[in-house]
This record gives sequence, structure tokens and C-alpha cells, in this order.
Amino acid sequence: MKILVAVKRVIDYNVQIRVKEDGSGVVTDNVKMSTNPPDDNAIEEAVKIKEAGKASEIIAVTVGEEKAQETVRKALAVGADRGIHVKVDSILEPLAVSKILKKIVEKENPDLVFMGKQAIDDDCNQTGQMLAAHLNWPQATFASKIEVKENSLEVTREVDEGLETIEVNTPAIVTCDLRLNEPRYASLPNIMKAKKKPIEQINASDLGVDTNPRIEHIKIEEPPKRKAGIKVASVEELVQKLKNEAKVI
Amino acid sequence: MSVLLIAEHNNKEVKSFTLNAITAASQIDQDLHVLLIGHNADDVAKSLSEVPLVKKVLHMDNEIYENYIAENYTSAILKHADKYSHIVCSANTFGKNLMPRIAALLDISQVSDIIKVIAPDTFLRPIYAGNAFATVKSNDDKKCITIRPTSFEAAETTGGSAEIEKVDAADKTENTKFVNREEIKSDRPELGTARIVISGGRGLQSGENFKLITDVADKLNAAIGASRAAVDAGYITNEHQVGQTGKVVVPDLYIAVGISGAIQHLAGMKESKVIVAINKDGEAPIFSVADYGLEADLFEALPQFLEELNKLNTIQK
Amino acid sequence: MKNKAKVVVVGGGVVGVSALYHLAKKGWSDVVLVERKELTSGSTWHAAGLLPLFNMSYSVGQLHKYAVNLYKTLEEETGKNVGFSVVSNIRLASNKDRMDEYYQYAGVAQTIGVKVNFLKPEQVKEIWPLCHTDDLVGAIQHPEDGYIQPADLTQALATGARNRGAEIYRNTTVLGIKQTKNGWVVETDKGSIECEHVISCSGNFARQTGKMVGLDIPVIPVEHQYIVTEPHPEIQKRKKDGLPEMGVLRDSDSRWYMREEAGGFILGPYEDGAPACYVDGPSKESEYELFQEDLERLAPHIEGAIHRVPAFGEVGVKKVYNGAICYTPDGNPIVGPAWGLKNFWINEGHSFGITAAGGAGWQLAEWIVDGEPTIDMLGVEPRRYGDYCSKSYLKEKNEEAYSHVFITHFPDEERPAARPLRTAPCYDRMKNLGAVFGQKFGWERPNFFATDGMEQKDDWSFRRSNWFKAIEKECKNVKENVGLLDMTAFAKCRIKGPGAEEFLDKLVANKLPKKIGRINLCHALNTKGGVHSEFTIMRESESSFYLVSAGAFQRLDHDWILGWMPKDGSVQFENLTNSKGVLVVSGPKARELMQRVSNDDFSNENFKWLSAKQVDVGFAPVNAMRVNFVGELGWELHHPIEYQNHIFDKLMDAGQDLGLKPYGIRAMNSLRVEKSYKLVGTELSIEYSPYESGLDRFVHPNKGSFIGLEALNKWREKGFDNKLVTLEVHETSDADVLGNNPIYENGSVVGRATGGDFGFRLGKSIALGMVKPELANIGQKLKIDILGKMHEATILEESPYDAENKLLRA
Repeated sequence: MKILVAVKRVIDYNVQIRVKEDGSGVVTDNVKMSTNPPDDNAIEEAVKIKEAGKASEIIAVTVGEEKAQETVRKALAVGADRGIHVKVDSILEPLAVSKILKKIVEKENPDLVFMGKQAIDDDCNQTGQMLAAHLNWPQATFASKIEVKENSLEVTREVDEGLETIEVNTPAIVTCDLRLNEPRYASLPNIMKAKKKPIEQINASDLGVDTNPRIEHIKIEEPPKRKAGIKVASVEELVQKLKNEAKVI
Repeated sequence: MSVLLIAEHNNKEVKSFTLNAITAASQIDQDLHVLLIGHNADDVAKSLSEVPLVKKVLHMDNEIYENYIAENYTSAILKHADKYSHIVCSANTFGKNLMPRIAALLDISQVSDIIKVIAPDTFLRPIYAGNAFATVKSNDDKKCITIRPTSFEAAETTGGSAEIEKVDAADKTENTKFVNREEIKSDRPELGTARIVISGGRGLQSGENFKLITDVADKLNAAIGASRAAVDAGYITNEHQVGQTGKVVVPDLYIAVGISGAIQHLAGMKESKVIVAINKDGEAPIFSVADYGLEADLFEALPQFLEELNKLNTIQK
Repeated sequence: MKNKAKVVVVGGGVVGVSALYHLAKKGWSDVVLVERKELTSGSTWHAAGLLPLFNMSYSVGQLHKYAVNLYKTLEEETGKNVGFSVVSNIRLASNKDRMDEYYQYAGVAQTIGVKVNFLKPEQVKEIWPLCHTDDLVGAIQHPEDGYIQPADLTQALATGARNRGAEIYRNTTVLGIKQTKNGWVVETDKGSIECEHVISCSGNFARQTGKMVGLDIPVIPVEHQYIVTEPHPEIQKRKKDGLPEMGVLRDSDSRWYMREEAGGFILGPYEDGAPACYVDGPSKESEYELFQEDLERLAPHIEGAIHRVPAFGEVGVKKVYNGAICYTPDGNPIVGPAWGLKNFWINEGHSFGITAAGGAGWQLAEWIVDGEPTIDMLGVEPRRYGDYCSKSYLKEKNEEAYSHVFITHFPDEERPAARPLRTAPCYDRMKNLGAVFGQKFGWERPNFFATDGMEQKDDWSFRRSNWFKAIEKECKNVKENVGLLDMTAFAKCRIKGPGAEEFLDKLVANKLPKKIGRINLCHALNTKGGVHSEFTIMRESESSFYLVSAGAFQRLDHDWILGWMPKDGSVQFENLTNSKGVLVVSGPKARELMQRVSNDDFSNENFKWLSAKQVDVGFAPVNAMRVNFVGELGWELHHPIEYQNHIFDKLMDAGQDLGLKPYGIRAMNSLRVEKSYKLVGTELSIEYSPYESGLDRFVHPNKGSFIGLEALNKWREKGFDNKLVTLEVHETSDADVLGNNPIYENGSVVGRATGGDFGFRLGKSIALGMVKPELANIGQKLKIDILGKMHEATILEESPYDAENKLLRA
């Protein structure tokens, strides 16, 4: 089996987000970036399946600007075999990304496509589902457990009411939840070796995909600030305030 | 311009967030139709038709739809999509799973998780776990929108009399099979809609200690939430998780106990009307969003809290 | 928030909080600290927390030693745990030069009371079983060293400060600092605070804080990364088996530190190519900020680490921290008074801030409360840098300082970045004569001249190296013929006005020259009676004096003068450093040389020792001062700088058949050591009274009051602990005393060397040092350690070469 894993470079989840003063976006200059966390789970799952002997090749792909390659390098250090960097010079919407990934799927013919369920920057949660639709493949989203069977996957998904298990025939798209697995850390020798693994660079414009944006960002602003709170000295004071001041109990 | 809303239900009742989605949908355009895809779901169709904001109910009923499978729902919706300018549903796991599939097939760039309708083509949505808000305008002819239910009031459920039209089923997929669902049933109010939520974090140190939280939840008739750390540690199951990748809640009162207040958790509860934090570390970030902060050991404070509530002798409904 | 306090500390990292703590500990409870965000949110929070006792500098070593001892006591004092793991530190050596560095350091350690052991590779293996030791030459171990939790340390110091009445205002941003008649006003976004003293501890914001008061603070941070790995089964097993933590490991030649962390490793290299950051300061929202990691530039050090500790390569990388560390051009912090601003103190540029914070706070508190520090702080003196530290200079030099943290610290190293910068007019001429340059205070100065087919480049070592032969030639030429030395870098100034004489008389311990044209060697003491500065003072007229002092201390000495000068306009100060050049001719043929280039009278009768005359050299006007630092017949030719090459060419021309050859600073050092001449910072310091340093004939306690007299008299009553002596060191073969070498008698340390060199005129290896007064007798036999080898030494008379000064008075 061949597994294609899509990864995205985002602002590191520990960084405090700052909005640019002119409202045109979020400050990204000199800000620490890293792999979108659930994408790490996606890579880990692919590597585990390969270690279990059920997959023969893992390809890591990213769609992004020049530095996005770093996320592919990290995937290579953790166990992906080769990488693809689709180079773009602006931020693309999930619709465009999913169309690009469709071209990559057609080129590589994977049996499975994994990716994180949601990117922590735009919080769209669309790309995996859209790719599945373009390919007319089944989708298993928010996966917290995957069992690889002969020609299908049994996937347990995290839904609002609890857990739901479905079976999807391969080829299929799986989007991964943070609870799917514990992503491993790459050792330094592997990080160094990864530098020699190949990353194919493709210009998005050469794929014949319409990547024009459909959504205009009119402005980006900070959320309204909460009024500052107070510290209460005792439980009695807390209860008293909740009843008489806030009137919520 | 008319709006097609996809209802979420369990074939017996409408799921409550659909009512919030209805409010949002009708803000986009009053000509709001609801598509109900289910099996033996006549009661649901009737409830929907009684919602005054709903102008028409399209009822697709077939055993294909006994369980919700995104691929099947997609085919169903595509049969009717061309008549509508907007396709809308709630942004909980049901809608998150479904809507992008529809949008892709209609070649639409979806707008996810909106918290405000500014115009039929302009919306406000949170990004970066709610640390920034984006005002976006969709230039697609048709729009696919998911709605953050907690940002809209639930629609009135009585007084309406919309037409119910039965429509034919669509194709079904052979590639996806429903296996089972583990629903965690509870007498408590649902986390997403509860008026009061009390959440426990890593500070509780064990699953048994969560009893301290449930005792207070019982008294206040509150829902129980948890931080990702508590769920990861196995203290409580995942449907209680509040946060960027868990549930977003906006109760009147949110009590965070033993939760440090990492950005990811705050993303799920900082719009709560009143926030209380109980934590023995006075410098924990949760205090920066708390209206009332109590720097105390939760193992002493929670039992005390319960005692004080008993003294008040108020039981909230 | 208070609107008035005695001291405002700006900046709430470990450095600022330590300063606050120490002020409160000295009894000043009316002190406050303002921090723009949260405590530690700049660089403290991401520091690796190491506490290196190792430092080649006497000042810095003492600051670190104090800190390590203090941190041990904080938990008991404040009830707050600081997470101090006293796990010891091992520093490895893979080559001989590194071992020399360790031996030299061990001398410093001995003299300041820091325990350090030498280990054989097998012993390293016992302590650090995961370390590959086959290719090691040796190692040193500090048993008292270890690491600490920076944030916890800061909170403990904060508690200690608050317990004594100090206040800390967080989320309070300083918007401006204005000088008032009585002190300062610190303007913040929450209100203003009037105060007497301000201490700047703002870390990455140092330059911004300095700008508020018109100061160009020479600090720009540099990125530093460290790697944290996941747990390693071997380390976890050791813990389970109850074995001790292996301790901090430093592979100096591979340029990194390593220690255990949460069952895994931390590796922190000091690589080439780490860029400066926050060059214009962090953004105003910056807090808890980290940069993108770059493992690529760490690659050679990672490989070195895996070679040294193979287990390190077996585990995954959990996180890479890349954060800003403050740097200065030489890598030591700046702790002390700001120049030109009364009661504004600088505590910035800390690249080992976690360790230095304790000592820096301690000494600053002494300085502020008691008026003077108690240890010689020259190694961290803010005024050791001058105007030449432009922003672009700092970027270059600070990046270099970072990459040199583990490069062997040769005593004669001259780091190349941003050089040549300031050059005397004769620079090119000296270069063509074979000069190999070094720099001091930004000035290029010839260190020696390549000769006999030697490559025109330096050769650094703790032992005699290529340039030993070169300076032998230079010294012998000065002894037999005449040498030419460029001392343009000297600090020079003019003090004049109706109040000048009275002021200078109060400033220095010696009597001022009475006659016009006479010169005296004078010393300014500090208020505790130690020696602060040394000046050659020449009386130009009734009310005008010309002062010369060491180039390295230009800012320091001039700031000292300006600080004490009366503000009523009766005294004026003119800085002449950059407008005057200095060429020195020295040697028995100096007079003949001068007579060839000048029509003026250089005879001994008409141009006595310690006098000055305006003469013409060629067509240039020159202030010829009959003084020199090498103990031969000679003159310092002070001239308006634009004439330098004219004078140079005239001298070189006329001196050809007299054997005139240039000589450099290193030869000068050998020559001055033979004369027991003293330098500020080594033989002279605030830690020694002038009497201990043998300056008896330059001190006149009965002349009237002068700064430090009272304290000096009390000190004399109490008794002195040291006496400066000159020693011959026996049986040297490839190394001489460098300074800081411990001196022994009967197995105990009885003193320390302050300097030394091989004396070519005497044919002996000489050392200058402080010993216990009862041992300071000519002929006394002692022992002195040079690079781990004990040598016999004998105390000689002062100025063993030409003790009666016949040659200079000729």
C-alpha cells in the first residue's frame, strides 16, 4: 500500500497570535512555525502502518511557499520515504489545495491519503473532505483509531455524541484527530539523514489547477477584550458574588 | 435567493443545534427551506415545519439514511442544490464532516464556522483558535456555509406551519458502511447547550477525583466539561473536551477547576458570559479571562463550594 | 504603585530581580522594580539554567562564585524551591592547548577560592558512563557547579526582595526616563516614579532603555539554540537504580554543553553563524518569544555530540528552543555606572545571566549603597567600551563573541571581527614593517613585528610561541639601539581653569608637578582607598594640565574625572585622545636620534627626566615628554595627529643607521615587567591600597585632603594583607607567568601573580605578584604554578633591570 500524507506549515501552537495593525492579517514575520499538530498524527499513523508491514511507501506532500519544505523534511525525518513540495506564492483556500492534491493523487496513485483534520491557523476543516469529493473516494474524518483490513479500513471517529465506527473501502481519505496516536520524535541522525531524501518540487501553476481565491478577507481584527476580572478571597465570597452580582446561580 | 439548511437529527428529534443554525440561516435570507434526510423521520419533519422561521421542509425518507453517512447525504443534497443560493448547516461534527464534500462538488469555496451574518455574502469567523476574527466576503455565485451554533440564538419551535414536501432518495455509496456508535448518554444537560458548565483539568489528578466536579454539577444541574489534558490522561471521555479541537461552549456560567488555561482550551470557552477559575497557581493564564478567580487548592475549595451552594438551597433548572 | 522611591530597577528578568533583592538585603527597602510584561518573559524563561563557575576573568569568576553560593541558601531564606541541582560540571579537553587553558584557569580558581579538580579520561568515564573518552586528553571538574530553574530562581529572589519591603510592578512599561536635579523620573504607562537611582536591567531592550537617557549601550542579543530530547532508557535506568545524575558535560573543543533533562538530554552548542537578533529591539508586544530553529547550522556540533555521547543520537528531538541571549563585544556583561550620568546604573549584556545575576546584583548594591564595589569590576565595567561601538560594529562583534564562547581563550588572542576599525596614521607604515596587530578600545596597535622569514600573522598560545623570538629581537634592539612604539591609543585630556589645580590635587594621591613642564605619575584612588586610575600629569601652565592614561581606560578615566569635577565652571575638561598621536622612542641611542630630527636641546642638563618641552620634529610641533614605560632613555612624542606620518618618516629616516626599529605592545610588556612597572587592572586595582602596590613614593597623605585619604589612613591602621613583589621564576622552558598564577609557600597559597613575562634584558623569567606582607622580602624563596607545573621563584629587588634608573635618567 502507498500512503500519501499531506502536511501544512502553520504558526507554532505555542505562539501568541498578534493581529497586524492595518487589519490585513496576522503577524507572521519572524514568528516560530511548525507542522500543524494533527498532521504529525497523520504522519505517525502512516509510519506505524508501514512498520506493521502493511504499507510500502509513504510520501509526504505540502502545498506552500518556499519554507514549507521544512514540514516535509520533518516528515522524512520521522519515516516518510520521499517528499513533494508544491510551490505556491500566496496562501491558498482549501478548495484550491484539494484540487492540487487531486493532481498529486492522480500522479502518485496512493491507496490512502492521510492529513490532520483541521489546520490550526484557518480552522477550516475542509481539505480532506473536499479531496475525497473530487476523487469520489470515501472519507473517514476525525479518526481516533484506524484498523487496516484487506481492502478497507475500520475507522473510529470522534463525534459530538461520542465515538462512531465506520468501514471505508480503499482507496480512502482519512483526516486525523490529535488522539489518534502519540507522534514520535525524530532522532538527530534521522533528521540529518532526511536531508538526503528527495523532495520533488512542483510549481502549482504547472498543474493546470485554478487556484484563484473566491473569498476576500475584508479585515482581520482582535476579538473583543473581556473586562478584567477580580480575585476573590474565599469560596464564600465567590458564591455570594455569583448569586448577587453576576446573578448566574 | 433562498437558503437550504441541512437538518441534523436522530430520526426521532431535531438536534438542538439545528435550531441555532436555522436562526443564522434566516439572517442570510428569510426564504429558508430545510432538507431533512432520514428514515422514518416523520416526527422530525413535523417539528421542523412548526418552526416559524422555516418556510418549507423537503423530506427525503429512505432506509439508506438510517444512519448519517456523509457520502449518501452529499448525493441527496446535490439533487436539490441548484435551486438554492446558500447551503447551510451547523458546524458541529455532523456539518464539518458533510459540508466540504458538497462544496467541492459544487466548486464552491466554503466559509466555515461563522459567528455572525453581516450580509448574504459577508460573514465574521474566528481563526487561530479565536485569537483573531476575520470578516470575509464570498465571491462564489453559490455559498456553502457552516455556522457556529453557540453564536446564534435557538429559533422558536412553535407557531409555524411550513409545507412538507416528500422528495425521492438519491444514490447510495457502496464504499462506506456504518458499523456502530457509542453514544455516551447522560441525564445531565448537553455540554454544548447547558446554561452552566463546570470543567475539570489536569489538576484533578485522577478520574476518581472527577467526582468532586460531578457533585457540584449535580447541584447546579450543570454539564461537565474537561480540558484536553484531562481527557488525554484518561480522567474522562472525549465528548467532554472543551477547546479548539473539542467543543465550543457559551454557557451563562463556566467554572474552570484545576485548568491552567492554555490557549487551546480558552478557544472553547472564552465567550462564556461569566467565567470562574479555581486554581492553586495564582499566575495561571486562566485567571486572565476569569471574571472571578479563586486562588485555592481545588481539593479544599470544591467541597467548600458545594457546602456553600447547599446553604443557598437553590437548585437551578 | 509608588510615585517615589530610592531606586527604580528597570526590567524583571533574573538580573533585575537579583539587583532588587540585593538592594533590599543591604537595607534599602524603598526600592521598586518595573517589568513591562511578566517576570522572566524576556530571556530568563528560556535559559538552560546552567551555572558555570568557569571563567577566565578574575572579576567574572568572583561574581559567579558568589552567585552559586547564594542560590544554595535561597530556599531556606524564602521558602521557595529554586531547583538547584548541584550535579557538578565536567569540562573536556581533546588537545594540549585546551589543557593549558584549564591549567591557566585553575590558577584563577585557586586565587579566588573556587574548587576545581583535574580528571583523567578514565575518571570522566566513571562519572559519565555514556561519554566516549578514548580521544580525550583530560578534563576538569567543578564539584560545586550544576544547574538551576531560572524562573523559580527569579521568583525566589522576588520573594526575598518583597519580604524586605521592595515592590515589584508587573505589566508596567517604561516610556521614558528623565534626569532631574536630584536624580531621575521614570515615566511608565501606569504613572511616574521619582527616584535617586535607576538600574537598567532590560535585557533584550538594553539599547532602547539606553536611548531614553542618551546612552549608546553596547549590547545586541544573539540567537542561541538548545535541543531537548525524549527520555533515554539508560538514563531512566540509572534513575531507577538510584544512581546520581551525571552532571553537566562540556565538550569545549566541540563547543557545546550537555546535561540530563527529564530522563533525556539537553544539548546547547555555540556554533559559527548564529545571527544577532532584536537588532533594533524586540517588538513592543514581545514576550516569551522564541525563534525558528535552524538545526543545519548546528550540524557539526550535533555530530560532535553524537560522537562524544552516542546515546544522544539514539533518542528523538522533543523540542528545539531558539531564543535571544544578550551579548557584548567581548562576551562579558556590563555592570556598573553609566558614563556621564550620575546615579544611572547599567546591568546589561548578560550572556551567562543566570549565574552572573547573583554577583552583579551583589556588587551593584554595594556600589550604590556604600559608594564603591568590593571587588575589582574592571572585567565587567560598562566604560570599557567607547563610542566606536556602533550598531553595525556590535552586530559583528557580538556574533563573534557568541561563537567564541568555547574557542580556547588564549591570553594573546586578538579576535578579527570588525577589524581594522580605528587606525593611527602610521598604521600602513607599521604594517609594511611587518606589524602583526591587536586592538585595544577599537584602536589597532602593533603587537609585534614579524621577522626572520616569519609569516606576518599571530600565533596564540599559553606558552612561548612564534612571536617569542620576534619580541626577543625587539627588546634587545631597545636595549642596544633604539626602538619606536606607537602609543596613539593613549587616553589624553587637558584639565584647565582657575580651579584646575585645586581639583586635580584633590583627585590624586601624589603632589602635582609644581613647575611648568614637569611631569608626575599620579594615582586617583576611589573613596575606599584602592587605586582607580593612573595618570601621567604634566603641568602645561599655571592653570592647565595635560593628563595621559591607558588607552583601554579612556572612557573610564575620563568619566571618573568628569564625575568629580566641580560643576561651577571653574574647571574645564578637553578630551584630546583622538586629536593627538603618540610615538615613543626608547633606547640608549634615543637622544642621538632626537638630535638628528630636531633642532631643540635634548641634552640631559636641559631636558631632565620627568619633564616636557615643546619641540619641533622635522617641521612638526611636538610635546616631547621625557617618560617611558620601558626603563630606557627615551621620549614620548605627543603630537597633533595629522603630523604623525611626517614625524614617523623623519624618525625612520634619521634612525636607519642607529638601528631604529619599531617594537610592539608585547615587547613593551616584557620590558616593563623587568622594571616592575605596574598596570591598572593587574598590579593596581581598587582591591589594593597604593601601599600594597608599592606606590609609596607616589602617595602624600599629608599634602591635604584627597579622595580616598580617610579610608586609606584607616586601612593603614588596620594593616595590609598584600605586598607587591617582583620574582624571578626558575627553570622555565616554554612558558612564563601570565598572571593569576597562584604563589605558594610550604604548600599553602600565599599570593597570586598579577603579570609576568620573560625579561630579555635580564635573561630571566620574571613575575609580578601580590604576596603576604611578611613574605615580601628580597631573597625569599617561594613557588609559583605555571600551567600545572610548580616552579621555584625568588623575590628580587624592585625594578631588577637598572634598579637605580641610571639608564632612564641618562
